[in-house]
Amino acid sequence: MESANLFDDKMKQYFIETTENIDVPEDMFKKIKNKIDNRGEIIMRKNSIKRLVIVCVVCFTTAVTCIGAPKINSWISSSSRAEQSNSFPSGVEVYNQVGYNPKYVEVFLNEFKFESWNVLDTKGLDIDGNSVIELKDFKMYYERENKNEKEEFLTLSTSKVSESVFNQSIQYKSKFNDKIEYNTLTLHYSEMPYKFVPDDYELTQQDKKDMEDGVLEISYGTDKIENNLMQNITWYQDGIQYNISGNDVNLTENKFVEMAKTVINK
Amino acid sequence: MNEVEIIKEVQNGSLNAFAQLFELYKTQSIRIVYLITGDMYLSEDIVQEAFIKCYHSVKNLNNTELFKSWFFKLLTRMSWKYIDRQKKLVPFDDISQKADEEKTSESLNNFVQNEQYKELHAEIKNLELKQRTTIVLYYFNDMSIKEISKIMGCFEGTVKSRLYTARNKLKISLQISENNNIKERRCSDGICKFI
Repeated sequence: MESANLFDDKMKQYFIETTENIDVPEDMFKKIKNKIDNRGEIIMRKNSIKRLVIVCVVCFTTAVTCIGAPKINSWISSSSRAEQSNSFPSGVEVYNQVGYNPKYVEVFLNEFKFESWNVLDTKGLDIDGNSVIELKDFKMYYERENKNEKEEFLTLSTSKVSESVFNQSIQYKSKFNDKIEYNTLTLHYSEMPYKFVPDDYELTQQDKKDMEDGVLEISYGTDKIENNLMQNITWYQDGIQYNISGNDVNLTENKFVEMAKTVINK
Repeated sequence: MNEVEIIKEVQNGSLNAFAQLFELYKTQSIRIVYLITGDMYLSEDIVQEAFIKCYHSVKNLNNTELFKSWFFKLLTRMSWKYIDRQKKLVPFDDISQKADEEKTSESLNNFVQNEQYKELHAEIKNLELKQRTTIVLYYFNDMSIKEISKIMGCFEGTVKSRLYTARNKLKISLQISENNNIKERRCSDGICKFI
């Protein structure tokens, strides 16, 4: 009995001494309160169609077969939840939603600041329209503060995919492509002109030719015709595909590379 | 206000009362989760999420006097959920480093104790998750078998069995460590060079 008491005392003493300096950070309650205040807030933006398109276009692939990977002809995405959240998420929150731990930041280039995030259910379809792969994509939205009316934002999206699936996605044809080596990673930068048009828009001959050549994308559903430039940088790191995309943000390729490095080095 | 009154106010949506509840439970919460997971940053995330969930779910708690068990059950399950999804235990922080840093200036008795802590730490880290949780709730939280069974959602017999198994493993480890240290003490006294 005596030895049992000694053991019990040692155990208690061990736990007390091991944790005596452990406490929560000073700002924890503030963060909790912020999340409670912001929970369930629905954010709908005027240009939500554009935003969906930007998210979907980075997932589009040509029908290329890679050994050991499903033959994916196209991708579709839909929101996992009705609302987006504009509280910067914790690692646990993200993990609970998507089942993996992607890297992400709160600010890019000191100009684009976190605005909201959500999760998309993404499916890769084969040529017959059957779903061959299903993913949970984590999406962060960043807005540039400016005095113009024009909305300028970036997205950071992540997918947990095999390297062979990633390799399919980077074979997507675009008007301009470049590869940049950084540490042991290869960053793939691309640019694609994007035309947003009303539902009743009639394609011109030039539109059709450019689309056939793979140097133009058309998306229906806006009020007026808008010619934008879609820029994207993607890489594969630790089993996760990362994409940073911007629509008409007027950033150079180097700036996109800089943003990618910010995430890579997180 | 006493704790029951605070909880009732929280159930009515009072953030001020919730702030008081947070103050009451924050330190113990982070320490329990840390002892289960072994990762400080993860523990902060889990505790934060647990309090948020607590605020939104506490209105479903009928008997406010059972808040403590209810909340620690929430904390425990959240810790398990994350570890289970990862399908491996998060590597423990090296708590024993602190002992190493102090080694040069402390007394021999303190040194021996810290060496035992290193052994104990290593053994606790190797315990199966539910055994480790049982040990933490029993020794650190000072909970009864009955309380632990409610938190862990198992029979009291299961708690006893886990406690018994875990204690035996840890006792053996402590005993081995103590025997080694007795040899060191004897040597340092100059009684013998080799044992």
